[in-house]
Order: sequence, then C-alpha cells, then structure tokens
Amino acid sequence: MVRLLTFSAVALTCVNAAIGLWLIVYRLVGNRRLRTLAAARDRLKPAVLGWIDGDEEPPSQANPTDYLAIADLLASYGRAVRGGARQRVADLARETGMIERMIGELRSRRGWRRAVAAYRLGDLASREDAAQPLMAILRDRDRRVTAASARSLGLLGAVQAVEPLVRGLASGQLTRPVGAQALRLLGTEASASLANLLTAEEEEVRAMAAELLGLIGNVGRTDQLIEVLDDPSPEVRVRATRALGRIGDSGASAALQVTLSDPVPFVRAAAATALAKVGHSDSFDQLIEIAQNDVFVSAHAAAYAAAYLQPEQVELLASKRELSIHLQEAADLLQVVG
Amino acid sequence: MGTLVSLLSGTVIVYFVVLNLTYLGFTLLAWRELVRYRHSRESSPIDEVFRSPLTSPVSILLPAFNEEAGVVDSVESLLHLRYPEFEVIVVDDGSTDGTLAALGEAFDLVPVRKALQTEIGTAPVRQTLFSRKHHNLWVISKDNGGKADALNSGLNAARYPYICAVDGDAVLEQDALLRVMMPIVENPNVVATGGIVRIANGCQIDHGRVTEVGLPKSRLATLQVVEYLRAFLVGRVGWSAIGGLMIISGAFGVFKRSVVMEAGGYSVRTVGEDMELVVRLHRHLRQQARAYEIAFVPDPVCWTEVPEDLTTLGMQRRRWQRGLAETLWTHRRAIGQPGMGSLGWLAMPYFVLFELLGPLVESAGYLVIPVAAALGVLSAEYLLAFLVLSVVWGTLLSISALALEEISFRRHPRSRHVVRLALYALTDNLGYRQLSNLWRLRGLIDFLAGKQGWGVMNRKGLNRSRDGIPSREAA
Amino acid sequence: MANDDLNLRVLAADDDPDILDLISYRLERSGCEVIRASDGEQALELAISRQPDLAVLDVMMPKIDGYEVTRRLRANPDTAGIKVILLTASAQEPDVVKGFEAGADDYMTKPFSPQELRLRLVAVANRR
Repeated sequence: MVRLLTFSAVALTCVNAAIGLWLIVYRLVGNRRLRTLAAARDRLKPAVLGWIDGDEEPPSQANPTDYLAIADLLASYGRAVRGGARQRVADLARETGMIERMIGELRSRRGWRRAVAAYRLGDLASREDAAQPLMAILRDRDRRVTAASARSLGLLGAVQAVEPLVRGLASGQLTRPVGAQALRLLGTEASASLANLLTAEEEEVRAMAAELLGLIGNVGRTDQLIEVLDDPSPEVRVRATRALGRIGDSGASAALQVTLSDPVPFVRAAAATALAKVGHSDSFDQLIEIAQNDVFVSAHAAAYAAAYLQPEQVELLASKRELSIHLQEAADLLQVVG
Repeated sequence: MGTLVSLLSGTVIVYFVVLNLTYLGFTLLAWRELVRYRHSRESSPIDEVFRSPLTSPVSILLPAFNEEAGVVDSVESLLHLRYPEFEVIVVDDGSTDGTLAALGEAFDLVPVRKALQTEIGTAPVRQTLFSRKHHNLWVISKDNGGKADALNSGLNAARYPYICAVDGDAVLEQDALLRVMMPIVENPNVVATGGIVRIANGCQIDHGRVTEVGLPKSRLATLQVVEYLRAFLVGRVGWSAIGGLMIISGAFGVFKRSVVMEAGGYSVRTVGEDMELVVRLHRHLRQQARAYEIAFVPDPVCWTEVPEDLTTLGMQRRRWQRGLAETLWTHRRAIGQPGMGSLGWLAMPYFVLFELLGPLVESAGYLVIPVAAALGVLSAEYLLAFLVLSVVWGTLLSISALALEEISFRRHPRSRHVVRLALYALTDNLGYRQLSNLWRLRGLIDFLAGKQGWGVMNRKGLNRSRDGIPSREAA
Repeated sequence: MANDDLNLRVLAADDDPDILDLISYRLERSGCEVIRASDGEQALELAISRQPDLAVLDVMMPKIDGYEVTRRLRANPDTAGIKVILLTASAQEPDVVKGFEAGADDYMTKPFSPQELRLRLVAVANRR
C-alpha cells in the first residue's frame, strides 16, 4: 500500500513538472509566434492598405507567416469597411486563394472550424464567391455554424438567403438576434417573403415574420400586418403590434386602437406604445383610462404613450384630478425631460 | 480505541480519495468546456447582437451603502458599457454619508415619482430620482435594509425583462454585459448567467476599466488569485457543464426578472443571498417542471478587490461558510428529492459533504491521523506517503487551473507572472489551505451557534459581495 | 483614388487601431496631416494642443465617449471651431439625434467607406 502511495506521489510529481514545463514552453513558443506575426503584420500593413485604397500592386507574400498576416489584416479591415474598399478586400482574398481555402473549411468535420470559416467569409468574401456555400450550411446541426453563416449572408447582401433564414429563425435553429440582423441588412427584398409567411401554419413562423417586417420597416406591409392583429395567438398579436409601431404608419392607428382592448395585458401594453409611435391622438382618452385602471404593465405603457402624444393635456390633468402613479411618473418626467 | 481510530482515519482517507477524484473529474470537464468556448469566441456574433434591436434590454441594479468615494465612478463605468439598451438603477440603501449627494451632483438628479411593483416587500422607499444628464439612470433612496433588500427594491423598479445585479466596487469589462447575455440571446430558456470574477489587486485601473493586468504584491492576495482561478475556471465551469451550477456571483450576474419575482426575490434572512437565490430558482423551476438553464460564461467579465490582510480575509471566509450553511439548510429538502435532477442527487449532496463539512473532516484528519500513527494503527511510512501524495495532488489541481487559464484567456501577459503564480500554486497547500479550513470551520460553528446578520458590521454593511466561493478548491 | 492636396489637419480617434489605420491612410494620401488618438481623453488633449481643423471621432471609446468629447470641444472657445464627424456602429435614430445635439457636424456609420469619409470631410470643412 505504501509502495502504491509512494509510486503515485512520484508519478504525480512528474505530471506536475510536466505541466509546469508545458506552461513555460507554451508561453515562450506562443510569445514568439505572436511576435513574428505582429512584425509581419506591421511590415505588410502599408501594402494591404494601399491595395484597399486602389493600388495596382498586391502585397507580396514571401512565406506562410506573411500569408497569415495578410489574412488577418484583410479580415480586420474587411469588417470595418464597405463599398469600393470592401470590394478590394474581396478581390485580394480571392486572388490569394483565401476564399477557396475557407470554403473548403466549411466541410470540416469539426463544428468550430466550420463556424470560424463561415464567420470569416462574411468579412472577406464577396457575395458571388461565397453566398452559395454559406447557404448550404444554414441547416448545419451546430448552432455556432448556422449563426456564423447567417451573419455572413447578411453582411454579403445575399438576398437569395431570405427564405432559408426565415425558416431557420422560425424553427429555432437560428439565433434570433443574429438571424434578424441578417434579414434587416437584406432589407426590402426580404419583406415580400416575410409577408407571405404571415399566414403560415406555425405560430412561431407567423410571429417571427411579423417581428421582422417591423424591423425592416416597409410601409407597404402595414395592411397585411393589420390583418394579423386578429391572430389567435397572443405572441403573434403582440409582435404584429410592435411591428406596426416600428413602421410608424398612421394608417394603422384605427386598428391599434381596437387592440387596446385586447384580452391579454402585454398586447394592450404593446398597442399603447405602438400608438405613441404612430402618432395618433384620437386614442388619448382610452389611454388615460387604461393608465388609471389597468394592470401594471398596460397602465405603465399607456401612461407613457399618453404623455408622449399630448404632453400638455397630461400636465393639465396632473394638476387637476387624482392620477394613478403611472401617470404621475409620466407627468413628472415630462417636466424634467420636456 | 484502536478500532475507532482506525475507522475514523479510514473514513478520512476514503473521503479524501473521493474528493480529489471529483476534483480531477471537474478539471477534465472544465478543460473540454474551455476549449469549446475559446473556439466559439472566434465566431461569436457579438457585434451583431450589439447592433440588433431584438437584443433584450437589461436593467442594471447597483445597491450602494456609504460609498460616496467610489459610487460616481462605478455608475459612470456602468453607463459606458457596450450594450444596445439598458437602464441603471442605483439603490441607495439609507447611506449615512454623502453617497446620495455625490450622485445628485454628478448626475443632475431630480425627484420624480416612479411606479414601483409591490409584489416584494422592502424597507420603505424615501424618494425616487431621475437623472437629467443620463435618461437611463434612476436612483432610489430608501431606508436601510441590507443588500438583499436593496436589490429587491431595484427589482421592483426595473422595467426590462432582465436584471443585472452588480457590486459597487466591481470593475467591469466594457463588453461584460454583452458577453454575459450571449447564452440568453442564444437560448431564451436561460434564466440566469454569470461570468468569471478576477482579482483586481495589482491591476492598473483607469476610468473604471482594467488597463493592465498585474499580480498583487501581497502574498495573501496572490494566493487568492490561484484560488479564484481554481474556483471559477474549474469549479463553476465544471458545475455549469452538468447543470448543477448553484452560484452566480453577486458581483456581476444576470437574471430573468419575472422568474426572480415569481420565486420571491432575494432573501433578506441570509448572508449568502446570491447563492440562496440561485438554489431557490432551481427548485422553483424544477417544481414546476419548466425547461430552464442556468449558464456560466467562461469569460473574465468582472474584477474585484480582495482582502490583503488575514483578519479581513478570515472574516470574509467565515461569513461565506455561514452563508453556504444557511442556504443548504434552508433548502435541505431538495437533497435527494425526486424531481430535483442533478441539483438534488449531485450538486447539493456534494456541497454538503465536501464544501460544508470539508473543513470539519480535514481538521479532524489532522487530529486523528497523527493519533493513528502514534497508536500504530497506521504505519509512519503510510502516513508520510499519504501526506506527500495529498500535497502533490493539491499542487496538481492548482497548476492545472493555471494551465487552463493559459489555454483559454491569457489575461496574465507577463511570463514572470505565470512563473510566480506557478510557485504559489506549488505552495498554497502548505499553510494557506489549513488557514482557510480554520476560518471555514469557525463559519460552520457560527451557523450552528445561530449567529445572524453580518456580525460586527451588522446588516448595514453591504460590503464586498460574496462571490460565493465556498471552498478554495473546485467550488 | 484622388490624391489631392487637402491640406487639413485632422484628429482621428478610435479605440480600434485598424479603423485608425484605414482613416489615416486614406486621409494622409489625400494630403492631410492626421493625428491619432485611441481614447476620448487623449483626443481632447490632442485637440487642445494641436488645434486640428477637423475631428473624426468614434462614439464608443474608453474613458470619454465621442459624444462627450464633442460637447467639451464645443464648450471650450479654443476648440469650438473644430468640425466634428462622429463614427458609430449603430444607426438607431436616438443615437443620431444625440450626436447632432452634442454638436457634431456629420455622422457616419460603421462599416464605413474611406472614400465617403473623405468626401464628407471636404464637405464639412468647406462649410462656414
């Protein structure tokens, strides 16, 4: 037994020493690698910047470190610019074979490698070069990959990706803010496909479509969104309501006023906020009523909405009758913020 | 007598073997998770989340008590966080110094009536103030009620779906809120998240940001650096990976507001309110069989100062152990309870057995083992070999934590810092560990003796948040 | 790529060194003298000591953000005449308003086009 313990102690001491040694070596090697890369980066920076600015002569790569440095610089700059400069980034990435390499990486067995490749393509490639392969991996089983792919498709302006993006969002495969942001970047092209999905069977799809239409902000979709205000699902109703507020079309005010009587409190609250954004004062009295008597979440939203729409009226009321705390808060803020 | 001693010493030894094997398990688990996380960072869509209007807004709650010296800086640094939409609610818990005045002057505060939720009772609110300078800053001035009470007041005032509880003296990274919200962004089932807390002693801090990472000069603080690395990198990451994370640091943590309010807010009856809340959330959601997750982001998001003298450190550890005991006692029914999942059959029993009773067993061991050797129950060589083995093992765990930190974050840029940390990792088993055990033992005794409140400082002191490291090993 | 002689002194401030590279390169090629700063505090100091004609400021900077730098430049008679272009990552309406309220002369979103920056710079510089 003692022998076992002693042996274990010795073995572990060796392991400790090994780890300690590894730490030192890892650090030293890592440092050196960082230094050479940094030096290459500094050396090649003017050439890369010159290329992006329009110079004829591409930066020369003498060795693999140079290649890495150029890739690194291109990715950083590619993320920061758009327009002609971004096109130049894509041209160089293509010429040096970087795009091809990354597209190859999209087939890697490791999820994180696919994700990193998909991510970088958004910073480096052009739509023509990368949209197809990126769309192919939108159905990847790894969420990091789908998120990276969606992000890049948005950045590349790949309008052909709108439908698979929406479907991915609705099925929950795709992270919401990332997918939504991509669709925002794809803009008006997306709104036609989204409008079609307002009548889809699945509740989540309808809700997602409504929300995204609000973010894209196309006034032409107002009527279709108004119809969705009658949807059986409260989640769909609230997102359509918010969307109408974001779009801001005053033509929606009558319908939103009706939504102020929705059975679900957070839908009522959303209607109040949307009415303020749409700028319609006819609903003022109804808003005051809600702000006085309704539950916290709706009363709060209604008070703010009323104060936004008719500030003088609210201040006048504040001096007259006994207001709910929500209206008091709104009135006080009006005084302060104006 | 001989058999008793033999039994006791046998128990102690078995205990240690099991404990250290679990530490090893956690280390390996953590290694896998950290590598995974590091890879994810390279493709993390954090800029897109920052730019997206769909990213959920957050209400940041900052409880403050007698912090006129640093509160304005803390608030400034919070206001400059990189996040699309958020509000900052400072809760002045009845400060008797110039905290409120300092805030009023720096931020142009005016009294404004505010609608507060009333579900959770708190000490009376005196005044609600709004900043004319920053329209997303509110200050609530209330009667003193302690940190948990102040947080509850903040909960009542918050209007966004998520709240972020922070400590006044915590220094945050600019992307901290973004990073800590990523698990929630990716999965709406996540109801609470936290990140890694690092030690600010020895670091350069400018305008509320850490500009240069350094090691503390103080030996005690450096020992704590190694300890925190082990507790966070190995402990939290490990537990989070198996769904048994029971603590989110009070220095910086994000919670889903509706769930916290359903569960009743923070408890004012314990000194370990951060851990108690998380355990209560687990129970509440499991009882209702709702799908949920409590996630840990293995990213350094927050820096705090640690005590550099033995007295303060000792008091802190005593208090933490007492808080741990209070929480485990409050939720004792969950231990082994069906329906409580890994919380019931793994996490809580583990914490009771190894974190709570650990100091007891270890201290007993220091007594029993030499007696056993003296009586001849254990041979002297056996004893020696065992001692050496345990020291070497402890070192292994510490140095593994360092290695994990090296592959993941490299926040210690200077090589000589790593060397210094390695040396401390080698020696923290000789003295510091034993001291820590004594403090924790006293904390356990305090609990058993029915001690309440914050002791000398009573409930008035908000102090440094207990970031809930129950043990110096893998927490 | 017009390599004209703009002859302006421009202060560029951003905590991202890549952005500074891009701005400096384009503007220097256009004949400007570019002063670089990596945070708000440095930007203010350099604005006071070097008296640039124009400042291109990132909004999200450590220490003092772009809005606050703009406000302080306007408040100080020595620097009130410096034209300001703000660079931001988000184009949400309240931020645009905030920028102009702080006293900025123009506003650009990131990702940006260095060519466009140069054009806006010229336009803003020519304004009286």
